[in-house]
Amino acid sequence: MPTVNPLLPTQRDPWFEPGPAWWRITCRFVDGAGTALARVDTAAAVRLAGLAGGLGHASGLLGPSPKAVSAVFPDLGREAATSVSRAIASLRFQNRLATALFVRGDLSRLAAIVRDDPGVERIRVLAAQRQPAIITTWHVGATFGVSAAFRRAGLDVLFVRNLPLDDERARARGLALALDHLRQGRLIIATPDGPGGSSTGPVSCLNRIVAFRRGPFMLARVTGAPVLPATARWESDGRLAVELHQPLPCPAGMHQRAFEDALAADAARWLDAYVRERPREIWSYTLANLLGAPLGPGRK
Amino acid sequence: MAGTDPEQEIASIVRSLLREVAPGPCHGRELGDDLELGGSGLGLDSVSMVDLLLRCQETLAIPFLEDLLGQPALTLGSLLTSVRAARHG
Repeated sequence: MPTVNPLLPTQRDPWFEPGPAWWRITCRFVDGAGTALARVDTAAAVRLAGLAGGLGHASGLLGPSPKAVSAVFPDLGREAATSVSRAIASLRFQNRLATALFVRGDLSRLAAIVRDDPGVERIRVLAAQRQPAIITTWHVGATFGVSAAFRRAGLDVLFVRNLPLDDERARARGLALALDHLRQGRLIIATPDGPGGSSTGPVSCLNRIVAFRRGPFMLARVTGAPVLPATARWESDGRLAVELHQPLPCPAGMHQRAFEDALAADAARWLDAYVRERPREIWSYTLANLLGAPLGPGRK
Repeated sequence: MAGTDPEQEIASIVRSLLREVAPGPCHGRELGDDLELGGSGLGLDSVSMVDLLLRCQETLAIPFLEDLLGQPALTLGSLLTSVRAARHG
């Protein structure tokens, strides 16, 4: 049965925006006002979106709750869980604005607020090597910041999630296109915790048993391309800081699905460590999906 | 092996590659030429579909048969036809 939780094995899942009518109306208003302000001052619009998210949380209208945060991060104290839940609510509106800009083709506005820091420089160096690599983005932090960083670096990169992936054949064509890019020594960006598509075997992340999308791991297996996680986060001044992390270790002595599942398990360990260190960067959507996934062995 | 029909040999290789890619769906099933590989047939997902074409490419030394991914319904028979054409081309 199809599920709307992309951290579980999925089939042809739609992206969905949960919530009642008032929430959808609020979102439309925020999108409109935010993108209008962003045309004048994008960083200010991001700061304002963060404030709006924080206010929404303080008024009890916008989740997640501290209880939900504590369920995924049980080591956080009560105060810390409250602070993290407020930060996640702020992040929610900031990313809503980024998504609206992205969908409306205004990626250059996001690119303009990316810091020229070592993360962008590492992306330039990686592209200049003319070696294939699979950059993975995740639903943490300012996800669209990674695309913006590539734009800032002046690099044209295949972002698999932007391809039309309506059905299995379209997905297969997208995968073939990504394969072609990698064989030409180019970079691609994929999002293993996105909806739809084929799933890896079960992996453990944040004490939950989850699954990722299989495509990036299969591409790594057949091309030998390294998998490098990339993240972006909103700074307090409304700008974007991007980080390109070290490649995931390549599973040795494994073949076929065992290779893919071992690499997916490495990715899960990386994501686990990243988010435990920065719980404020987890998306509300990802938090909800983790809560909807089965607990790992020995957890109740 | 002397006397082996090359066409039959290709069909046999492709069927065995298909079983490697999708052991579960292929188990106990007759892999006839009219079997649809995706959707309501064998139900191969996108990754398995591409994996199958890659294995055909590597094992049979043919180009990657990307055009097949644009067909409305990919059957084992149409895959075999394309593989044979690529071998002879």
